[in-house]
Amino acid sequence: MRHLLRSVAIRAMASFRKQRLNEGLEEECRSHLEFAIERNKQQGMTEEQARREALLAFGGVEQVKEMYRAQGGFPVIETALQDLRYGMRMLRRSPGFTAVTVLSIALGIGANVAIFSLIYALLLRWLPVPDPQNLMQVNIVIDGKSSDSFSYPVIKALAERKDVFANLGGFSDNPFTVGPPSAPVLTQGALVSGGFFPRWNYSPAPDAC
Amino acid sequence: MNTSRTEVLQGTLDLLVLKTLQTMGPMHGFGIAQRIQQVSEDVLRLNQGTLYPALLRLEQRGCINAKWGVSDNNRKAKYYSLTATGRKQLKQNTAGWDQMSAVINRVLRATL
Repeated sequence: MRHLLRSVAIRAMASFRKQRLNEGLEEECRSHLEFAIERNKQQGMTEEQARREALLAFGGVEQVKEMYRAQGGFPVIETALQDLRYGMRMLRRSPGFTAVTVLSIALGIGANVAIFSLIYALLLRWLPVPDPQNLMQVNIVIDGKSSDSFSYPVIKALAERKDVFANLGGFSDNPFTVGPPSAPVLTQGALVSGGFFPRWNYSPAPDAC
Repeated sequence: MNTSRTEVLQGTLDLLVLKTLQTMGPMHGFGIAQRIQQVSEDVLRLNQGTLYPALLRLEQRGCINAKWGVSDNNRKAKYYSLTATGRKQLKQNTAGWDQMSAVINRVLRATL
């Protein structure tokens, strides 16, 4: 664990001080080659020969630098950044392609958001009433056919059975004409039974009672 | 010179470096490369440059320390020395290598 931390710390430093890491390696390579050239010359090679042999024994200087860099920083992050920069350059180079791509992605996101909002409102979101997960719609099955239509006496009888539902109310869609006689407005509404109000946390307006 | 030269086996370079530093004391990269080639009697083909990423790796693991210094002939060079962790690592890796090579030998020599 300590070694891992140490390795991360050194790599982090290396990442920030990439310049210094490179310079350090550069200097070290130079020093190495000087040693090698000197040794080769001592063995009787000419200056040029000694240099060539030294470089040959060292192998590819650029490859070593690449390996060294990979060892030094966070190669994954660095290559990711490189890819990002490359991507940006390519996009800038072909604006037509970029426009089409951006537009289709925007449309895709827009369509998804629209559909999701609809589904959320219709299917996912709880109704804004107290204890929404215990709100039920009652259906009745007669002769294999399901129906959600009840007569008022049935609703009344069901509402009295407190052991089944703590509270039960019925409603019936009904349009109303609202407003002063001079300017009546047709409004969508419903006739509801008394049990409806406490369940939905509504209280009827005093005038309506 | 020996005509059949062998590449340094993957993963064994670290071990060779640690051993060299243990025997020779603090050394610079070129010295380590020279030593490895000498001791192996030039059978090992070492791209000397690949030594440096290995040295950096060992330094990151805390196996060796690096310090710039001056050589006998007054040249600046980075000197590497073994740490306590490195000594421990060398011991472990040597034991691991002995075991591994023994096993492989046994498999290769095995007859029905």
